[in-house]
Amino acid sequence: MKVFTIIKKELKEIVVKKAFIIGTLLTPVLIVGMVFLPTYIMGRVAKTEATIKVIDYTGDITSQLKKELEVSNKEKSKKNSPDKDMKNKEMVEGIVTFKIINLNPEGRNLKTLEDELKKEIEEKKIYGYLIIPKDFYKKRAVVFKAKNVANIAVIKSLNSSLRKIATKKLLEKENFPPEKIEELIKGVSISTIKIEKGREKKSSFIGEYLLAVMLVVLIFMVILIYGQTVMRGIVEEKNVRVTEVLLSSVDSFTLFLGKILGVGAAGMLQVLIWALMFFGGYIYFTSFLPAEFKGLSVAPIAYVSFGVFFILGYFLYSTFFAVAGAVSNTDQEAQQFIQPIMILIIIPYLISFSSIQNPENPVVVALSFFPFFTPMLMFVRMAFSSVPIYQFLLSIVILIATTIFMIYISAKIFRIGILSYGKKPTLKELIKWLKVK
Amino acid sequence: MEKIVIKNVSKSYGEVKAVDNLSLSIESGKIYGILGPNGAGKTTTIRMLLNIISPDSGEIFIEGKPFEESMKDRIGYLPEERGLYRKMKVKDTLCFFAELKGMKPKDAQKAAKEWVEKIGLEDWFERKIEELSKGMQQKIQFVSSIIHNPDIIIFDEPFSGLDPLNTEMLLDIMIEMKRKGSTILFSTHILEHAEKLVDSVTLIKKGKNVLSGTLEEIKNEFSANIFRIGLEDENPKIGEFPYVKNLTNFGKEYEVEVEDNVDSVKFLKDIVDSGIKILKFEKVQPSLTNIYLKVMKEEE
Repeated sequence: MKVFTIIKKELKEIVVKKAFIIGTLLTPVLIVGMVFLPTYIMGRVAKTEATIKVIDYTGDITSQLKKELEVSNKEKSKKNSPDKDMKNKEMVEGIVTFKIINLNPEGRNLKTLEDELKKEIEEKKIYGYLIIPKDFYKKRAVVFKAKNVANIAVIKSLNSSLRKIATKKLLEKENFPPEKIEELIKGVSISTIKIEKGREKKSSFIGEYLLAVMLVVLIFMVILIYGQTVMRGIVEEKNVRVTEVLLSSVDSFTLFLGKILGVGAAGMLQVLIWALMFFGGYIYFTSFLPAEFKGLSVAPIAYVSFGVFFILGYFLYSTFFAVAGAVSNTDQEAQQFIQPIMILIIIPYLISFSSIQNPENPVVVALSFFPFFTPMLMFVRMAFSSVPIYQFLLSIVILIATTIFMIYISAKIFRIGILSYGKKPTLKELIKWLKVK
Repeated sequence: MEKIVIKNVSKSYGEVKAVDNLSLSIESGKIYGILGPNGAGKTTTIRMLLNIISPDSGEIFIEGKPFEESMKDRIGYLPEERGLYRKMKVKDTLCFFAELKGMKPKDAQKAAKEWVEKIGLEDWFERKIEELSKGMQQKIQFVSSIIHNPDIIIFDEPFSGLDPLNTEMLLDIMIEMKRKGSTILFSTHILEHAEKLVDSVTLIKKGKNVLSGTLEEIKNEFSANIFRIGLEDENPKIGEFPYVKNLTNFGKEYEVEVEDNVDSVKFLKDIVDSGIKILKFEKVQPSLTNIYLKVMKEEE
């Protein structure tokens, strides 16, 4: 089979290039960097180290506050908190590490004391200071002065600790036994479960969400990059006049198929390597997490559908690129021909992002059956909602039928285009070519 | 035996008739030349022969059978417009084209190695095509068209753009391939090479076959009764015989065209009898160039 000779040549031509090897190895590193670096930096920024001086007129709050806040520091610093919501909250509010220093106000003027502390805040020696009045237990009010009073995590921690202390004191007064008190003032944890379409939805790990988004980007990129590789290869063959020699050895359909399959094989190889790297990395990293983080919340069939749509999408679009190459004399000319194709690729790409939030929107559902949009939109639906299996299969059947039709038409234009030099053919001429026997 | 038969083939591009009811037959084991000016339809004929394009009407047979895809493996083709993949290595280029002709990768590699040694490019085997000089690239191109040892060889304008050394190499290759039994068809407008090589020719003009036959047949057909006579001194008396139709004076040599019924014995005897002293007496055959020019002008 001569088609394998062409596939082998195309594959080898791409794969042994330095650009391919470097691109294959470096892209995941870049993506991981792009995804995790901001998270890492955000985590660093959200970590507040708050040194707080307490002017305590009651005389017994500070030590309790110290106990409360510095104990919760220890709890937080325990890695892999099994409390998923706690972890999510931390992602939003950040983690605060407190240091509580007692200031005895006895015999000192509050104003000079405050002036001193304000100076320390300015010099960034302390985060802020707390004034606890004598009637704290009665009025339950304190004053907190700091440069940044918008840090919710700091305020919330202070608030809940102080409330605990006040409540404890009250209960002690009422002669509750100490162990009962502990139980009474314990916080409550809420785990949240999302209901969608009457079904419980497992809240997905943010990384997995990103992975699905990345796969959409991947379908888009691979179609663009490898489609253009097919196109440029054909233009090059026309320019160096190899086409005729090739046609004296194989028929134009074998050449057409060989080029698309060969370049496609290189693309699939690259994606396969990435897939192995990602899943390997994913399994490695999640192995540090407790059991409930393991496993995939995106259904495995979504990943299967990625493979299907990735391959079919490539074939459908590469026929366009092959034709664009065949009817052009230069890369620039070919670029003009692919402009309409680009629109067909970009539209589903944009829709797919906006449809992640609501993949079962009727418009999205309808568009996901339009074969040129199917690869990206149906994949998004598969990944982010549960698509009835018949819809999935129907979209594949439509996609395959369209692809076969496109291959038939483009092979006809290709056959004549690759031997035509000189001026660009008009649309009318292209239609005439279709009719040539 | 006839290897290739082209029967009443026509092909038009829009309004232009590139090939017009053309018929040819090419004998096995012979070298056949298609001659004609640019735009006469040589390349179109060759492309139809290779089934790269199909004729509007007419038939083409190879060994009595209509063209089949599998026949491509037995044909070696060098197109008029040359080119190779610039970034590909010499070795990969030769192997790729050989494998496309159905050779096994192992055999292809062996043949590639043998050929580069034969043409003295073994040091360039692992180099990229773009690193080679133009002349070297031409050599690789010839080799790539015949590496699979085809029994039908089709060269379209093989001599255009060649330096003398490569021209000679190509002539040698063609003669060697003929000796091995291959049938060779080539188009050209450089007639000196054609005259040295061909067994048969066809002259094409505006898509039509205006003359074809073996070189001998054609020359006989066009041989007017012309003699070239060298004399000791200029002597216009040579033109005074009653049957002389035409006389051209080249100084001490004359070209004399006589009536068809006068043979060399009679003419020579008459000259000797008249006492003209001659140094040279030769019956002249028209060259292919003469015939070509005559035919092409006639048809206008």
